[in-house]
Amino acid sequence: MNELDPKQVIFATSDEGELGLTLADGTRHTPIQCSCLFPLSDPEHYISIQQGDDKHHPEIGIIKDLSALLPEQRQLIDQDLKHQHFLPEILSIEDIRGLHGIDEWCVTTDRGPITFFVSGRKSSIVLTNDNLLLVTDIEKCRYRITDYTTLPLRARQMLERALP
Amino acid sequence: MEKDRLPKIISTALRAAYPNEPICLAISSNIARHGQYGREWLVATTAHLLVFPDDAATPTHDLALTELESISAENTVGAGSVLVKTATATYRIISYTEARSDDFHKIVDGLRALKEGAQVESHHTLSDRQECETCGRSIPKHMSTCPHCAQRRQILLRILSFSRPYAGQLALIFVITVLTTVVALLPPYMSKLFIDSVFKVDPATGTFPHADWHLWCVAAIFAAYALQSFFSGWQERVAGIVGFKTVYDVRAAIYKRIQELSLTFFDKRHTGAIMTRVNQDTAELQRLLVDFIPMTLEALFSLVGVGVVLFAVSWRLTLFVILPIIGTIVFLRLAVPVIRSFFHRFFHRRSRLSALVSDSLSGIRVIKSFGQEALEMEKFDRTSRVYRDAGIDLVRRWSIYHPLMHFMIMCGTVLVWLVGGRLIFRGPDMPGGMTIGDVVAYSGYLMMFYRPVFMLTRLSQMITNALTAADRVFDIIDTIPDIQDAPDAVAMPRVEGHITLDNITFGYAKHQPVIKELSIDIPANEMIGLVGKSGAGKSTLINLMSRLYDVDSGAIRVDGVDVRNIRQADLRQNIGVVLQETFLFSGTIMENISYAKPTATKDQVIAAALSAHAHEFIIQKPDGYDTRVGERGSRLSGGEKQRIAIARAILRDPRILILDEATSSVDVQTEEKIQQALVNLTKGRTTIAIAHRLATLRNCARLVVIDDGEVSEMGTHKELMEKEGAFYELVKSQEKLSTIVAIDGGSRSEET
Repeated sequence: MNELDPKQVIFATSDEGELGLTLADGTRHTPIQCSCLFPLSDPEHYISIQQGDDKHHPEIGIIKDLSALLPEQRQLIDQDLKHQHFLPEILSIEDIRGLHGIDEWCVTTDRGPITFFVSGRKSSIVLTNDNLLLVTDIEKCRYRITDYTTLPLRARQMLERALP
Repeated sequence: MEKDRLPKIISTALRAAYPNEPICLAISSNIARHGQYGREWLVATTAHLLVFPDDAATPTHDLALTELESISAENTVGAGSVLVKTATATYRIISYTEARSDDFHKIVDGLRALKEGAQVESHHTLSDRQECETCGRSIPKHMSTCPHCAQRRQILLRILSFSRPYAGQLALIFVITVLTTVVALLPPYMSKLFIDSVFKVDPATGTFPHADWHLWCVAAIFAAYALQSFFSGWQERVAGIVGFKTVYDVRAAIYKRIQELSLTFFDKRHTGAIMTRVNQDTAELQRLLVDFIPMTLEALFSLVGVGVVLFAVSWRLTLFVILPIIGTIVFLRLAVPVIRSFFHRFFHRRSRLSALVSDSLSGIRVIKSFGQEALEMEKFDRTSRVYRDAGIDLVRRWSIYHPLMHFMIMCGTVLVWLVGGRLIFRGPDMPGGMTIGDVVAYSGYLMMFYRPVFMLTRLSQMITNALTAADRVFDIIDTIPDIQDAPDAVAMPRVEGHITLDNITFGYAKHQPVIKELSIDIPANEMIGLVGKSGAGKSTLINLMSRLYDVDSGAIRVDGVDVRNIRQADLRQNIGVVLQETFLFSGTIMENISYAKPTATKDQVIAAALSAHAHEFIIQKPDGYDTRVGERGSRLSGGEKQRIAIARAILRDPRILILDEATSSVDVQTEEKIQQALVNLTKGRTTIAIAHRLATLRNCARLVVIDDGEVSEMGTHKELMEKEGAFYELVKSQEKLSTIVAIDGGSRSEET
């Protein structure tokens, strides 16, 4: 594993808005793209930095801990991750309405409020052992609830009823 | 049309900026600049590409089409963006979620065409999302009807349309139901007669003036109960017969459609989900027809019938008695959702536990060999504890709600004695006064009244579930197969076997081509080998040749005729396949070989097995050709299964043979046998082989190297080796690998 030392590398955005990286030895890579290696279980650690212009996206290195980066550096990575990994976190559930064979979810996520449909199939709501809930709507968009037990009782009841 | 929905402010701004350029394309996204949900507009005129925030006149991007070097749609996890590249930089101009991916890929195609100077009309490339005619909401993809407006009644009518052949029996069910209700009204009335007349002592004489009615009344009650039993049995019988017959028809319709559907349908769905539809959903449908509909009918009739009688006996009393009923219904409406959420949780935890058990049982070898029994026990314990707690929670709630509900019902009876008692004291001759018999009969009717009330509250949920299942069933029956015979399809019972791939392009998802503008010409009786890395598109090519999918552009021709114009039955008759993963149905070896040609005689099957070199191992089996192969043929070795598949193909005697050679390693002797069998099989047929072993390749007249959906090299084995190109590299790396395997194998044999 090629671990990048957060203190030795510099991330910067070009004038055109492309994210680039300068390594300790002075090598520059532009554009780059970031991807989280444990996006569900540990989104704060193990961020793989890859070359953005190559079709196969070869890896430049791995940042082990995001919090070791300077705040403005981290913000650049967060921004790119937010773009590369679109997985809204459901913050509150307004309503889950059982329509005909399908549930309509009205929720507020960290990306704003949204309404979507979830089919009653087994695979559409997955509950892991750590209370992490992954919801896939019928258009294949995914949503996560990091710990569903922290939701208010009403939301939890609606959720329990929607579990296939 | 999306163009018409373009906000005024944007279209005005556009007209001001580029007055002479009409708008060609317009699409709205669902992610805004900062990554939040929101809307931005991508608009293209004949010469410019602009992106506007929703309802703002200043564009965030304003690019001349001529300065763009490339336009592409990039997929990220759960979302995507349109990227444009100019001489100086790459811009990510607009983003959208996965749901809109197809729409934006179409827009990108349109933009490219615009850049080339083509005429692009907006409606060609607009979102194909439909809008509901009733409520105007957009209907999500993969759904045929608007989820808000799907009508229960329509589905119910649809189910009943399957019952139409049994209309007579349905009418009979109706009549029996009415009769049952009427007969059921009799016994409480009889109790009134007993109390008020038969057992009434005339105070004047001290005798029973109506004692002669006694036997008649007993006979009437006896008859009522007998008829009731008879009618309910009769109804059950007729409803059951109609239900089973209807569901048989539905099941036949769904299975027929499943067999007709092309592979695209199965790619999108899990086998398990489809099996659920055929088995469980039709069973649910059956319960609807056999149980729920007659039960609802009966409940409705007795509700009306008993209700009328209750009012007739004493409307004053009824007004009081209705109070607890209303209370109970309100209570049910409040409590049922809560209780149901506990039930759901309970069932969910239970299925998680059983999933865990089945998972660990199928992986028991891995668990044992890693010595992780303790870990598994802990995992089980955790899940089991959660299940236990869910059960306890459920019981806690249930033990409150259930008795409470019962109590509320019984309150009705208490009211009857309270209010009814007062009416008795009033005396039968006063207005509203009742006799003891009236009150007894009344409480009998009241019990009859409660049953349908409860049944209806429960049935509503059951019927919703059943209708949902029915909807899923109709979803399949209504699916139109992608691959169908053209109306003017030609019959070609026996083809020569000349195959032409003419500039074909194909992708499982339309915007991701797996095969790109590929052309190969294969003369009849030639054997060609397809070579390439995994994922290059070899198997896809084979699927296209057998027309499991249709090409997106270009054409595949057999003897000069487009495969889309050949009758599917004929095409399949002429193509034989030996697949990489040999699938054997559970049954005997004989059945599996003769699957290719059910009319084959024993002689023919044995001859095929002989030339496939399968005969020699079959005769060693105690049951010979009658040996049963288990699910997926688990009792045969990999090499044996392959030879059975080859025998199957030989028996079919196809003009075109497709060979997807197995990668699984078999011992040298078996390998030799398989090679000999293949030589027998490919003789005098057009053969397309995906070859992994060099030995097979030697037999090929030509080799085609496929890379990333395109032909990168073509020629004989010798030519390609001399060229030292992509094929040469593949061979070298394979040789290196086999040396490693050989060394590895050698050292292992020394150890033992």
